[in-house]
Amino acid sequence: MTTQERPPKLIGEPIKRREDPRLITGQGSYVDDLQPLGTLHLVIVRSPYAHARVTGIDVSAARNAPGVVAVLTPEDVQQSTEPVPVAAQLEGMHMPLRHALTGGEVKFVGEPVVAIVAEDRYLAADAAELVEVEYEELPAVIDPEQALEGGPLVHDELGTNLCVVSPIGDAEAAARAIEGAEVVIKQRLMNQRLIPNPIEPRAVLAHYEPGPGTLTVWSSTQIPHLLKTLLSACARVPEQLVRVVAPDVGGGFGCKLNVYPEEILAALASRRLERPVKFVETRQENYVATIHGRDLIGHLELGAKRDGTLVGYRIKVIADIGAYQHLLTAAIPTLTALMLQGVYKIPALAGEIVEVFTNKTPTDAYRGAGRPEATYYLERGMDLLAAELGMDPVELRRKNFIGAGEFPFDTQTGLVYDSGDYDAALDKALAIVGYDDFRSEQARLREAGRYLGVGFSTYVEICGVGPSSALPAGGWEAGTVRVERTGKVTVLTGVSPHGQGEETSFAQIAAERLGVGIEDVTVIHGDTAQVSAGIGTFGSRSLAVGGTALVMSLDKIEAKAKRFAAHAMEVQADDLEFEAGQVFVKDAPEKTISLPEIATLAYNAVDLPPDTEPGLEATSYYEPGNFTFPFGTHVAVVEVDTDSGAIDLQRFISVDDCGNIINPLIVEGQIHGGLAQGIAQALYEEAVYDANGQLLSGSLMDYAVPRADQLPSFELATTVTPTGVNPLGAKGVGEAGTIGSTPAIVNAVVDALAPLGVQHIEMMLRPERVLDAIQAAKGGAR
Amino acid sequence: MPEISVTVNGVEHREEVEPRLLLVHLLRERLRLTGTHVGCDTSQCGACTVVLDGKSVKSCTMLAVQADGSELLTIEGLGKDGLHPVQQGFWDQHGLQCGYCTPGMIMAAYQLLQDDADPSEEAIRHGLRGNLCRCTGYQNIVRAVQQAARATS
Amino acid sequence: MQLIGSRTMPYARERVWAALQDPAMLRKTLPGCEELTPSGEDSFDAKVTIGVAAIKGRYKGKVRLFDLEPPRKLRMAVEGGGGPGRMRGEGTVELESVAEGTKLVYDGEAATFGPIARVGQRLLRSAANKLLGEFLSRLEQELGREGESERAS
Ligand code: FES
Ligand code: FES
Repeated sequence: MTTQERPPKLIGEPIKRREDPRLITGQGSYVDDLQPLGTLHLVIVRSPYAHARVTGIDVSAARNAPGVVAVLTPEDVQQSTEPVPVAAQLEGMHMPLRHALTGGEVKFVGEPVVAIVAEDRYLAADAAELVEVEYEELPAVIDPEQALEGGPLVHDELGTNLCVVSPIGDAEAAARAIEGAEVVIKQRLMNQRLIPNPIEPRAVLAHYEPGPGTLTVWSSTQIPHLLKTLLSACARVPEQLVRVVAPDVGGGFGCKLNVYPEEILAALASRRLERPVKFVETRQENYVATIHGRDLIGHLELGAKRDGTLVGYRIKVIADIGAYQHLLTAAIPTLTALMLQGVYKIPALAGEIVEVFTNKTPTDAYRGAGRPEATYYLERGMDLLAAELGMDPVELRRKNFIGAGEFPFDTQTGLVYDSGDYDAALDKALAIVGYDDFRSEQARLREAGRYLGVGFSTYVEICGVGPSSALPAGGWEAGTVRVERTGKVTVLTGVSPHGQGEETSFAQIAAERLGVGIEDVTVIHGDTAQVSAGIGTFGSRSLAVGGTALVMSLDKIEAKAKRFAAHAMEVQADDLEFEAGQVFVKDAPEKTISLPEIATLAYNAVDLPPDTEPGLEATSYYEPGNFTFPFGTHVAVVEVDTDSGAIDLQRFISVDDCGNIINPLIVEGQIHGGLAQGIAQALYEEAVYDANGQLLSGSLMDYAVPRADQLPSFELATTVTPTGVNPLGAKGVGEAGTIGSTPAIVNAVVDALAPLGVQHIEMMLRPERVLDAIQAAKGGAR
Repeated sequence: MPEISVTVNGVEHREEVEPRLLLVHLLRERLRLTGTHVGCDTSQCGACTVVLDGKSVKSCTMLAVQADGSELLTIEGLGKDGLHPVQQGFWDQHGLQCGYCTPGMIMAAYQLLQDDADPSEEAIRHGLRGNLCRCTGYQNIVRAVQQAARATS
Repeated sequence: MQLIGSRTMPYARERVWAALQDPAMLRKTLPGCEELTPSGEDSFDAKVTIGVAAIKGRYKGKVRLFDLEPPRKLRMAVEGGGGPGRMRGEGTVELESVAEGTKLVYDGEAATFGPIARVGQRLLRSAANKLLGEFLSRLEQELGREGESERAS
């Protein structure tokens, strides 16, 4: 082995992404880019009302409109398909189901009622305008607290708007602790409704071929394998005849982790018409017909001793889940429950999660999914407590941190935190922000009438999702490594990246382990006909779970390669070492055999080792033993203009620990994007409904996805505390930026305005709210 | 149906188009240049940005007939002879993730640099405010444009 | 969405009052009105095509007049829908004799449903005001024309 030059190190290096050349030249292929011959277009007629009875549907004019091939009505669809699937089923939960088209009673604006299939998208849209639906409007319930207190019923047959209540922790102990606490703060905290907004709206293309009886579905999805199973059931095509392909997918952020009515409708229409049928959502449809995120009200009580030691934490959370459950809806708020304890030692803790139906778009996973809410509640709570105690918020946090020596750590919510060093991340962040200097500068500027503030968020999140017991459809992941006859390597993975760059990071792992050039490795994902099994990309799981399945397969390849080598070199397999694409004899390193040579032996199979099958391919399913728990410290520095209420975000420091890093470029990108979304929740984004259940922030004109000039350049740093949960030591990074950042902003704004007596402002922090808070603190309405 | 003539990436096309056909659909569906994307229906996102007669335009806000007689440059034409410095910048600086905003973003950045060869960070951020990216937080896009500016100046 | 406004016209109150009940007159003056047919006492079915950007489309609707206090005051309920969504409104129209003729004062509340509700209330209000303004101008014009032809005959 000494004669051979070691191939370059790849793991941990900022390798430029291999998916980029196609994407920067316009050669990417997203669903709407595909246009098989004879493709028809499907357009949906949706409910304009939040709650109404459909009393008549007249499609006669639409049927006769130019180019129209088919019109699907609720009755027809209800007979020919199964309901839209719900996977997350909690104990005691009400689960009203709906079909892909709704006939009887529509329950949110945007609910599909009729589908038109026509020769092109213009003609389909023309025909949709000719559909006449008669509605009898019914009273709608929009506010979740009102929904609980006897407002109109979303689902009459349930007799209640309550979906489910899930308790967590020890309610009695928490009550006792808070009663006996020297200091208690109480606060209602709103975590507002958000709209995910991937820049590519949803799109699906279904193609049923009557000859072989196969249904191929290209979908802009995060979960091709789950979609295959669920769609086969919904559209009634045997699963083995269904193939789902997620081609290039233009962002997901959780909202493409689902099965949608339009996917079922396209499949049904294609099966009937025996032609390809495409549905592409418009942005305005996306705002009402694709799931929303968050929308949780927290009623928090935090008790402590005078010296700042936490003694108890109790919270009631009301989650407005909208009109129906989608795939994982009900499970999302339970992630909030699981993460209530955050980074602190809290001797008594209890939560109650109340999920409520309202006449709004269903919620489901949106980047962070449950954890940003938990972090927001606790990190706002810590600042409120610090203010009450007159203590520095940093000191208060530090005093209650779980210490680096206390891992693995059992939480009150039944989790085991794998590893952590919360002080290290905080120290690094403090050094970058220059905390002491900032405080004196802040004091100096206050004299001059300028209001600067600094806000902290020390977060921990749960990812690497996860043990199958915790996930409705399984939490494992699968991965295959195939060394081809020529020694080139194909990696097939069940994760389904849509921006996360696994075509690069997985190739880095495989190439380094097998000692081949990265250009000799191809990573295939997102096609159920090529990748035999998988779960998908969400919950920051791809590397920690999918990457581990890959490592397990690489281990198997190594072992098998050694058997071939041992047989060929007539030594014991135990005497061999696998390194850099060569197998060599430990005691005689000049005796080597290369991977392509071994591949030839394996596939020619003329002289097989005993008990060894031909071929050099391995598949592994990895079932994680635990979640992983990334953590970090986020710091925001803001200046607030007390005349206009405008907030200037001057600096944002993000110190994150996601364990071992395979590609720092990708990690940095994930954090940037996550921060943008978390900061935007604090400053820019809010889904607003009127009393009739109409979405007022119903387009990009009124819902402020941040633009380039609305964000600063972030200051990033990392600490590295590997996890022992998986052999890569990697924790996951897709959501950390979003989870940690939001409370840092709100804390900074409140810190800036503290001298004026402001204690809290509800998100999003639009200028009027800031001004109202200042006015209220001064003791009078504006 | 009116007949129009447009030159796209140096190639002249004559097409009969319905008066209501959007330019972006002419590009994507007739000419099969699918690198130009559609991300919204209120002209807010910029995913459809192309360069028309030396100006960046949102091709979803224009009718194909309005482009009659124009010269268009789309993402497919930008890097005809190897990557353009703006494309190179996006690759080197990890200026994209899902890639959906990217063609529009690159075309907008290309035109920005045509108009101002050495823009400040502020000017870049301001100049790209018509283009939404949900993945990157823009920081690496800014770096990409800065790199391209250095490479071309 | 509240819509409040007024317009003074140089015509007698009785004439304005009569015009407001006259289907032929309303057909001529309601912007984009294609059909207006009586469907009962003081109610009409209408078909309207609106060209204003945000609410562009064809609508079908019903107009009902009630609580009539000739020639001073009436209430009006409007309900309709089309491709871009639905609307429902109710309001009061008062006619006041003034030195210059008749002052028409309207005060109504309208709610929108579906896509038009999402395009932004600012746009909607300005579109609604524009349409109302157009209606009143045409009404004034038609009354003028009617006057002329009466004089001529
Ligand atoms: S597609 Fe969004 S601006 Fe053109
Ligand atoms: S890279 Fe995904 S939207 Fe910009």
